[in-house]
Amino acid sequence: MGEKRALGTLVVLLLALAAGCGLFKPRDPRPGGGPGVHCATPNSPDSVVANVLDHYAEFAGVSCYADQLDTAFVFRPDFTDSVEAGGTIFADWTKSVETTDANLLARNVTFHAVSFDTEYAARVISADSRTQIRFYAYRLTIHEPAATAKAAPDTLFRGLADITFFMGGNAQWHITNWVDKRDGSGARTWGYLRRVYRVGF
Amino acid sequence: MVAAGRQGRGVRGRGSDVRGRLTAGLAALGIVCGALAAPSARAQTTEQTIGASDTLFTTSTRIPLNYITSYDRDVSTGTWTQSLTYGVFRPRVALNTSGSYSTVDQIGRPGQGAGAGTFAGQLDFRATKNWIVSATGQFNKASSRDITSESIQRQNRLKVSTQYSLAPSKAFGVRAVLSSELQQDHSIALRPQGQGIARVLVLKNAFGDSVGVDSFYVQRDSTLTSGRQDGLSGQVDWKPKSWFSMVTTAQGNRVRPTTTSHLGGYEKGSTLFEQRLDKTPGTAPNDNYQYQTKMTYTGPRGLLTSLSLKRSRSDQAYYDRTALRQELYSSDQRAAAMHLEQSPIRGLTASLDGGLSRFFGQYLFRNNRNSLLSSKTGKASLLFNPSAASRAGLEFDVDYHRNSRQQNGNGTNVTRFLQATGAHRVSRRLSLDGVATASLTSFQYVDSALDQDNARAYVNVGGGYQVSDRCSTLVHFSVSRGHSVAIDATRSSGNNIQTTYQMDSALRLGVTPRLSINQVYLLNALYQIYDVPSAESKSVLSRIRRIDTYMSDSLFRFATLQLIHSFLYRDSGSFSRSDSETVRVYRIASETYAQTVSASVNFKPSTGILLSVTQSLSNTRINSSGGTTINNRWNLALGATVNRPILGGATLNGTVQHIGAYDEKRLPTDPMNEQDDWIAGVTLVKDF
Repeated sequence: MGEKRALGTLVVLLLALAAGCGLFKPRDPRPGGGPGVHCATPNSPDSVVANVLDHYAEFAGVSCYADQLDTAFVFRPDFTDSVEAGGTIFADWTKSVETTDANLLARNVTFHAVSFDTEYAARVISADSRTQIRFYAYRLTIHEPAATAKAAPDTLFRGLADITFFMGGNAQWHITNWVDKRDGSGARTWGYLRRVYRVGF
Repeated sequence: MVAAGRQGRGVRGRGSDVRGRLTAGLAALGIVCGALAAPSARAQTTEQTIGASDTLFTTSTRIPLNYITSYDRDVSTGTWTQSLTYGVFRPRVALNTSGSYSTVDQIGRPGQGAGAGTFAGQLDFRATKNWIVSATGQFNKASSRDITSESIQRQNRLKVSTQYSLAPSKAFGVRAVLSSELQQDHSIALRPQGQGIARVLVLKNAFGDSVGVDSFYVQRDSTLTSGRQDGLSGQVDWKPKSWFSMVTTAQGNRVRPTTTSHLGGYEKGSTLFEQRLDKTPGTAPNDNYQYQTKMTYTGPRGLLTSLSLKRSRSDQAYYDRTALRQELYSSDQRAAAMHLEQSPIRGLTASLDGGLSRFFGQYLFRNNRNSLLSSKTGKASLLFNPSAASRAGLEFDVDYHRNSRQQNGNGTNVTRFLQATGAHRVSRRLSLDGVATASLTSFQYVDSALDQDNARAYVNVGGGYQVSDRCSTLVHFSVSRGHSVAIDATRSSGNNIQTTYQMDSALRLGVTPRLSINQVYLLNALYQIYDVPSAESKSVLSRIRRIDTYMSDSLFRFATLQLIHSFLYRDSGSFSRSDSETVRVYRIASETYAQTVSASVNFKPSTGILLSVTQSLSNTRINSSGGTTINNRWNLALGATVNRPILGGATLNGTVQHIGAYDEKRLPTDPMNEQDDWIAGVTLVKDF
C-alpha cells in the first residue's frame, strides 16, 4: 500500500512539474500585426466552403483553412495520379500533412485563385443530416516564383472534388474526406499540386 | 501477393543430416557461402526476413483457384476489380500465383478512365533439405486515357534465386540468397497535335561530344528501360542463451539499366512530324544496400529490452515520364530504436522507448524534392492495473524532427504530449473515469515567417451508473482549450484561443427485450477569443443543445423497425467588448433549429438478403439578421444487401441503393435540389 501511495504522489508531482515548468507554453508572437483574416465560424458546409475558397493558398489564412479540416481528415488522390506517383507519397495524407502542405504552398505562391465552378452531381445528405457529400468541379490557378517553382510549368489545375462534410459533436462542420478526380480535360489536378509540395514530411 | 504465407520459423537443428547435405549445397552456392564465410550460424526460432520459408514445404496443401470480381459505382466513376489466386504446396515444390486488375471508368465520358493491375507467380523448388531454388515473375500494367493523352506503362520482372540455409547448432543459423532478375519497363504516351511536351535534346557528334541542343515538342514517346539486377542477401540468427537473441540481415543488389526513347513530334514552328532517338546507356549507378540487426534481452521481473539498428542506401534510375528523361533518385537511411520495459511492482508496468533516424533523399534533376529528415523520438509510460476495478496510466512523448537541404520548409518541428488516464469502479453500479492531455507542437522554420505553435489541453471527467439491467446512464463533462499562435507579425493577428465546454450524457432503456430506446444529450459552448485587441470584434461564441433519440423494435424475426429523432438548437454571434464596455457581451447573430425524423424498416425475406427502406424529413429554421429561412427536405432511400452463396460455391456480396431527395418548394422559384442517385457495390467470390 505504501508503494502505491508513493507512486501516486510521484505521478502527481511529475504532472505538476510538467505543467508548471512551461513545457506546454507556446511562444509569444513577434510584435506588429497584419490586417488579419476573416474566418467564418463553420456552422454550415457553406461556411466551410467559403473558408476554403477564401484561404487556401493564402499565407495569412492557412490557419483558417486548417481549421476547416476534421481531425480525421483524409485526402484521397485520383486513381491515375496515384499510379503515376508510385511509392508512398500520397500515403497517410492526414490533417497534419495537409496543413503543412498548404502552409508551404501558400508561402511559395505569388498569386492564387480558387473556385468551385459547379456541383456536377446532387448533394448526398445522410438521413440524420450530419453528413453531406458535395461534388464540385474546381479550378485552381497559382503562380510560383521561377526560382522556387515546384509545379511549373503548370499554373492551372482542374478536376473534381468529392468533399464530405461532417457535423461533429460541437455542431461545427468540418471536412473529413476529400476525393480528388481528374475531369477528363487532361489538366493537372489539385492532388498533383499537393503532391509536389509534400517534401520531407 | 506472391509472398502470401511466407512468414515462418527458422530452420530446425539437424545435426549430421545437415552436414551430409552441406557438401552439395556448398558446391552449388560457392559464391554465396564465400561471401558469408564469417561464422555460419542460424538460430531456431527467430523472425525470418529474407528468402523463402522452409514451412512452404512442410505440408501438402492446395489453395483453390479463387476468383473475386467486384463493381463499385459512385456518382462519377465506376470501378471494376478482378482478382485471381491459386497456390499448391508439395514436399518439394511450391507454386503461388495471383493476379488482379482494376479499371476506373468516368461515368458520362465514354472511353476515358484508367486501369492498373498486376500478375505474379512464384515457383519454389526444394532441391535438398537446405537448398531452395525459386523463380518469380511479375507483370504490371497501368494505363490512362483522357482528352489530351493516352498512356500505357508495362513492367516485366523475371527473377531466379537460389537459397541455402545452415543450422550447425540450435544457437546458430545462417541463410543466404543469390538472385538475378531481368527487368523491363516500357511506356508509351500519345498526345494530340498541339499538346506535345517540350523536350530539349542534346545533339552529339560521332565522338559523343555535345555539339548543341534541339528543342522538340514530343507528341508520341515510346520508352524502354531494361537491365539485369543481381542481388545477394544473407541472414544470421544467434541465440546463445534463452535470455538473449540477435538477428542480422544484409541485402544488396545492383542493376545497370539502359533507356531508349523513340520520340515523335515537331520542332518549334514546324508542321513536319519527325522522329528522334534518345538513348541513355547503363552507366548510372543503381545499387541498393541494406543492413539491419536486432538484439533482444529478457531479464528478471518482466524486464524486456531490445535494440534495433538499420542502415540502407539505394540508387534508383527511372524514366521520368513527365520530364521525358532518365532520373536518378538516391536515398540514405540510418535508424536506431530502443525499447525498455519492466514491472517493478505487481500491476505496474513502466516502459521507455527511444528512436533516432536520419533519411536523406536526393534527385539528380528534380533537386527541389531533395530532403534530409532527422528525427529523435522518446516515450515514457506507466500503466497501473492494481485490480480489475481500477486502472491508471501516464504517458509522456517527445518528438523532434528536423528538415534540411530542402528548397523550402527547412526547420524543426517539436511535439510534446502528456496524457494521464484513470478509471475506477466504485460499486457494481457506479464507475468513474477521467482523462487529461496537454500538448504543444512547435514549428520553427528557417524561414521564420512560417513559425507556429499549437497548444492544446483537454480534461474529461465523468462516469456511468447502471440503474438496472435494462437501464443505464453515462455523463461526462469536458473542457478543451486550443491556442494557435502564428509567431510572425504578418499572421499573428489571426491568433486565437478556442475554449469548449461540453456535457455529454446518454440514457439507454430496454423497455422490452425487443424494444429499446437510447437518448443522447449534448450541451456545448465554444468561445473563440482573438489575442490581439485589434481583432476583438472577431471574437465569437457558439452554443448548442442537441438531443438524439433512437428507438428500435425487432417486430419479427425477419423485420426490424428503427425510428430516429434529432433535435438541434444552435446560436452564434459575436462575443466581444466595445471601447465603452468592460466585459464581453454576447450578441446573437443567428439561431438555428433543426429537427430530423426518420423511419427505417429492414426485411430479411431469406437468409443473406436484406431489404431496407428509410424515409426521413428534415426541417431547418434559421433566424438571422437577413430574416428567417425555413427548409423541409424529404429523403427516401431504398436498398438491398445480398450476402449469400449462389451457383454452387460462389458467394455474392453486394449492396444496391437508390437515394432520392428533394426540398419542398416554398416559392415557385425555389430550387428543389433534387437527388436521384444509384449507388452500387457488388462482389462475386468463386472457388474452383
